[in-house]
Amino acid sequence: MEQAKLTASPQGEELGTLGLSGLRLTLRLCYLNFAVYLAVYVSGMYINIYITSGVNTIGIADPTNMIHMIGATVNFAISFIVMIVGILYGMRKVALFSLGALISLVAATIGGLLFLATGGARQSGSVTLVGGWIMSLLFMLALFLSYYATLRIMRATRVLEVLGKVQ
Amino acid sequence: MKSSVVTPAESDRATSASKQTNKLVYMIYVQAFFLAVTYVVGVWETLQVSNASITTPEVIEHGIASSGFAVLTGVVGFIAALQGKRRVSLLNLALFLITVAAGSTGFAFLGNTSDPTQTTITNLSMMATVAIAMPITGFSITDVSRGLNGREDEPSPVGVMTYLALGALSLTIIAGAGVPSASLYSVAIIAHVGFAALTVALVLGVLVISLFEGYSSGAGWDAQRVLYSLLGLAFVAISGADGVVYLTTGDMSYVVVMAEFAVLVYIFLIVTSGAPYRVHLGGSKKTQGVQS
Repeated sequence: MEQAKLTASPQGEELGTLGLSGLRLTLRLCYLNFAVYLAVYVSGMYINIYITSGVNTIGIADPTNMIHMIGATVNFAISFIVMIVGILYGMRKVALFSLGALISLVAATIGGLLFLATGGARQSGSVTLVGGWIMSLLFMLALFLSYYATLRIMRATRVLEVLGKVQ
Repeated sequence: MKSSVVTPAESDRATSASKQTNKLVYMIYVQAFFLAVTYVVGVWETLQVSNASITTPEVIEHGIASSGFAVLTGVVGFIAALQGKRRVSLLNLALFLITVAAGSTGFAFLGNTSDPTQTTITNLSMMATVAIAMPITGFSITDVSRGLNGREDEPSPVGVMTYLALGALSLTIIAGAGVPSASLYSVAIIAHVGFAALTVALVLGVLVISLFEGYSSGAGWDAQRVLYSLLGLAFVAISGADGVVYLTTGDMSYVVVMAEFAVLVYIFLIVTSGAPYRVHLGGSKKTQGVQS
């Protein structure tokens, strides 16, 4: 019965071999990823508006900066896990979208390091500013790509649920 | 005589599960490799690099290796959860959280490199994480590869002895991390030497039990396991000798060699835990047909 559910893949649907319980677990992990994205976004905005105010510098050991960097690390780890799940369990699009999110996060991290290493304030110079822009834009791209990977997992979950009810 | 017929669907599922488990084993080996690199670069950085900053090459290398380790710990934990390996999953997810917390002390250290208290906190928390990770990766590899080798029963005496040796090695490393601190020196050096001696004894025990286990079962000893435990014993002995040379000469380069040989002891103990390991790239084909 379970095997029939897994192999009965409707046209164009990418269900993978993970099974319903595994998909639900992965979906919960994706939700957790969005909570962490939100924490990274809020801490980044807090740093931008209240700590640097566009003028002051921020150091690596600032508590808000540490929360921001740890959040970004957890985002990276979760996106990597989702990509590996996509590769191992035959969900190509999930793997590709997550890979895109990972590349974006790596480039955003390099932008963040550039920002910190070249002064840490918007008025520190054009290189610092470019670092900040790279960080912000690629963070949004990573969020967008993670959203698409989550949608694919959500769709596979719904299709398997419907197949389960039909059978 | 009890017989059971394995259907093609069940056979496919067993083959698929075997392939996934095999991939999990490889991931644990890669995780252990990243842990070893993190430790080696971290020790090098502590002893040889002054005025560390976010752009120091050793700091970047250590950061990349430790991030790789953290990410793979998360992956191993989650894939183990998907495969229903509850203990491996919980231990690795706990290790992931500990690693992230220890990483944050590194950020605090980079912001204040001149504070000795911050340096001690960073050294101890990172070394404690490495030390906690060693037995966890050892347990993961033993637990997962036991299923792959078709030995679902309780851990063998060699497996238990290897856990103990990894635990003693971990305690040696934690105590060693306290040695550079003036306030902890006297306690840390005694504990470090004591746990190091215990580690040597336990690695010798792994070798002896590997030999005896094969003889007592009548199947002969497992060459892979004996070879890896022998290599582990050789490196733990060299590492200990380096420590003694450092105490008599005061040359810090011996501490670096000691720490880097200690990581080879860890690697050989991990490989001993997984031994005998065989490549299952095509998955198991023994599940097909009639089994009696």
